[in-house]
Amino acid sequence: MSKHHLSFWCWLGATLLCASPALLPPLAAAEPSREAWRLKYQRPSAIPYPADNLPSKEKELLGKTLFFDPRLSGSGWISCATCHNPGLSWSDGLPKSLGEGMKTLDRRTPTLLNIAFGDRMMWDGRAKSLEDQSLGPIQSSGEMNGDLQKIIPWLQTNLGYRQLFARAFSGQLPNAENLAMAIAAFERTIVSAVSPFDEWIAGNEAAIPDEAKRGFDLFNGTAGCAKCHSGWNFTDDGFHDIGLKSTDPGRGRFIPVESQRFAFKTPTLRNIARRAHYMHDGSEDNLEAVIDFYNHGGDVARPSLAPEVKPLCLTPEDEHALLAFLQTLTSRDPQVSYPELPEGKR
Amino acid sequence: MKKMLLLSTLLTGLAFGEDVVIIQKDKQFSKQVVHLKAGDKLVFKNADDVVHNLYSVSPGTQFGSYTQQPGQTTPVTVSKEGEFEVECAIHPRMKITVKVSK
Ligand code: HEC
Ligand code: HEC
Ligand SMILES: [Cu+2]
Repeated sequence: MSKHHLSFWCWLGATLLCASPALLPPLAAAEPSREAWRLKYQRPSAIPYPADNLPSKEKELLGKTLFFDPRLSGSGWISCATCHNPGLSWSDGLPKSLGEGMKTLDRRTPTLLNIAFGDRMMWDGRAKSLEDQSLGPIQSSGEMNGDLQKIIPWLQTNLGYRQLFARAFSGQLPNAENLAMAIAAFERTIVSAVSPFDEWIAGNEAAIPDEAKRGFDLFNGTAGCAKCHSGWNFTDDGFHDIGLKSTDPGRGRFIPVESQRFAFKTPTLRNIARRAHYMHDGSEDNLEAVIDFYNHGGDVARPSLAPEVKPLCLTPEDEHALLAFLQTLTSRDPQVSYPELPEGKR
Repeated sequence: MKKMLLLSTLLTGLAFGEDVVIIQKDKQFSKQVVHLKAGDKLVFKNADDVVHNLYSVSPGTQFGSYTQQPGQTTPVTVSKEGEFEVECAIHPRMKITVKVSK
């Protein structure tokens, strides 16, 4: 299947480039740098919090309760966790998100893993912070279709929620601002546990197979993946057009710079093997297809295409090594228990 | 490296109309804030192996939008006084404030 969407020009480019060794970086250069690259993947020692929303157990419990409560939605049956499902690494396993009225949305549901370490929110970066983002999906007609004018008074009259808010915000009644703060505080607790890759970075040579180590070399070297998927969370928090067929303008809708047309946020690669489908439009079904896509330099060549995406000339063995590497990023994350939701009809 | 940069910015601070050099390395600007005099030349040097960009997010400023290939040096002349925020559109974590005085 994936072979067929190789356009002719792309194929020709790849063939010419791959056939002339003079144009390629020396392959041997990859090996000696492995130790230097490994230093760039240390896990951070702490979760970053904004000064105006420091965490507390009470805030996180309230945020979790709200996150799992479908009564915040218009229909009363969609919660944040319907789409950001902890059992599916905080996404939904669908190529495109399914919202209010079972309508398919334009984009895929991103994972919330390590979202505390992010910068701009959403595929196109339109939200400046987690606090900024939280009220969006509740009110968005496509997602939860909730109405804050009704939700806030309901929370204020619900005894259980009044108590939870009072404990989290020193006596305050529920309002839009502390609602957003509580949800954001909970989201910041969603952090990837230690994966075999992290154990290897920490010095356990036996934690991952040799093939995955070779995949790591390719990821940082010849294949150039780390130019964008950089650091322990495998993202530069940047926005790139990687040449997907989708005509969604992405960040180009509000940033008047050529490179931002069709540009989307670099996603984390944590738990990536568990999170098919892939890309903002769910257009790649599995990791083999993703690697093949990058190997032929993307599907669409256009002025906005990121120059880091180009034919890579990876052999089938290389592709397999990259896959083996990506599979080491899966961690056994802590089990999430369903919170008890305050009683009371809406 | 850092010392050299400091020295060069110190010197340019004294000598009017000279270049002020900002390095982009590891997806960061070498300074968060830069002070200039109108007519000074700002020079951005991309020392990374990825493409960067410069554009002003402050409305109505004189600053254009520039694409910078790896290794490329980009001169920008600021003719009027004012203050504006410059970002890399590709990596918006990269931010620098440019302050231009008379
Ligand atoms: C109907 C499914 C659905 C529901 C319900 C939903 N989301 Fe999302 N979420 C999405 C989709 C789709 C996106 C990406 C939208 C875009 O970028 O245009 C997203 C994006 C996000 C992001 C940004 C992630 C990133 O990497 O930038 C956060 C944070 C988030 N949602 C949190 C929430 C919270 C909190 C709730 C509940 C209040 C919620 N979502 C409810 C589907 C959903
Ligand atoms: C120019 C920057 C860039 C480079 C280089 C790059 N990526 Fe990506 N990657 C992205 C962006 C941006 C997306 C999301 C694109 C979209 O959905 O429109 C993405 C998406 C992905 C996804 C899907 C993630 C998800 O949650 O849907 C995987 C897997 C991936 N890249 C792996 C790789 C591998 C492996 C390489 C090297 C062969 C690589 N990337 C090189 C920027 C890059
Ligand atoms: Cu940049």
